[in-house]
Amino acid sequence: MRKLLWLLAVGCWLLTACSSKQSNGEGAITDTTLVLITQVRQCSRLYTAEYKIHKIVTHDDVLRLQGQLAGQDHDVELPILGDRKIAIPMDVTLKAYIDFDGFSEQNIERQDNKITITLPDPKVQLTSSRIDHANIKKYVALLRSDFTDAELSSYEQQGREAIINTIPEMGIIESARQNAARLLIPMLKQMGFSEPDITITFRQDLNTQNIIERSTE
Amino acid sequence: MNQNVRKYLVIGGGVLIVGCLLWGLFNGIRHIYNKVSSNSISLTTDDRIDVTPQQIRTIRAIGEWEFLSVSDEEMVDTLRHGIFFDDQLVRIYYGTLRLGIDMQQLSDSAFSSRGDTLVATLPVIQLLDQNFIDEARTRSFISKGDWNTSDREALYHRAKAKMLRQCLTPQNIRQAQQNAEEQVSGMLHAMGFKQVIITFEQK
Repeated sequence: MRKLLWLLAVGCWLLTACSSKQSNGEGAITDTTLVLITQVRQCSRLYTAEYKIHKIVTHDDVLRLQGQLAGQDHDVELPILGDRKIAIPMDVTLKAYIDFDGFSEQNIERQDNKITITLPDPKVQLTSSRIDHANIKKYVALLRSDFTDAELSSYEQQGREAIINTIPEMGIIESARQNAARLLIPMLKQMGFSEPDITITFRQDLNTQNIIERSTE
Repeated sequence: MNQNVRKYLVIGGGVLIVGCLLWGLFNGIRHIYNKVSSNSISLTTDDRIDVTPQQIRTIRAIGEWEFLSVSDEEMVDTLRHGIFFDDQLVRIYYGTLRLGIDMQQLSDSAFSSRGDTLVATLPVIQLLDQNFIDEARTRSFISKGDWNTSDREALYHRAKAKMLRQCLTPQNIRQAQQNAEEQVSGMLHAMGFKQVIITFEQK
């Protein structure tokens, strides 16, 4: 009888211990954020054109057995283990700007009421990107491990680079130049210049390969 | 004597034969070892993404004049407590908040002349774009346990809120406004205006 009472007591204690752990600890989420670097920079950039790009980054990997056996290279697909596929939709914003940091009297030519402004070369920057988490589609075969967070980040970074590499073909620079003129002419008119007296020019020998400003990796 | 010589010859021949056999065996083993040790085998996958097209969704003319940019890196950490093990996801987000004036809000009477003085009334300094995180640049730092897409979405929003609190401060807005005054007046001086007064619209 005494043994039975002891067993009941221990059982009750275990139950209460488990339930209290569940309500206080298990499944609870603790969040923290830590500022790593904050860099403040004074500048003078006039963004004149914005392109929003949509891309679906896809990746399909089949496990391969690679190696050297008896002095010979071997590379065999292992489809029996199944493959993994993922499609990650992402949206990227590109903006073209004119940097007025070095803008001076040398960029302006005045003759009586006529004004000619030579603007610096436009540059393009990727200002933001967004992963459409809700619409990510993936397939992972039963015998394969799921995509890790590091793998997902790597695919997203590759997609971002692929978009940056196609910037010179997009024609964003021409849009930036035209929009800059459309923006500045009304301002100059307000300052008292008449429209036929205003000329806005750009350098002609622009190398489109040097227009991209990459963020520090 | 002859028997002794024969005996020595037999023993010597035997030793020679055994020596040859041992040498052959040793070389054979060494050859097999070299073959086997140069063998290597591993399971690999190709980590590159596929080549896919991209689509330009919108092209827009904007007029955002940036005077201060604040680049921020935030490490966001989430920990889910379990009975035996804890799950942890730590990601590093990158963002750049751009402060300046939206030239499309410039009024029709923003520039006015009073004698030889040009008065410019500029729109208020503001955050030029609410989308400032470069999420595709995010680095995965620690990932233990199972985390789904909604967990990553939640981390993004926490990083964004933290960056806004960290960077969109009255001090940075004031600094951007000072820089705007200097830059715009410098440009107007370069255009030939001797006296320039810069003011900002009231909120």
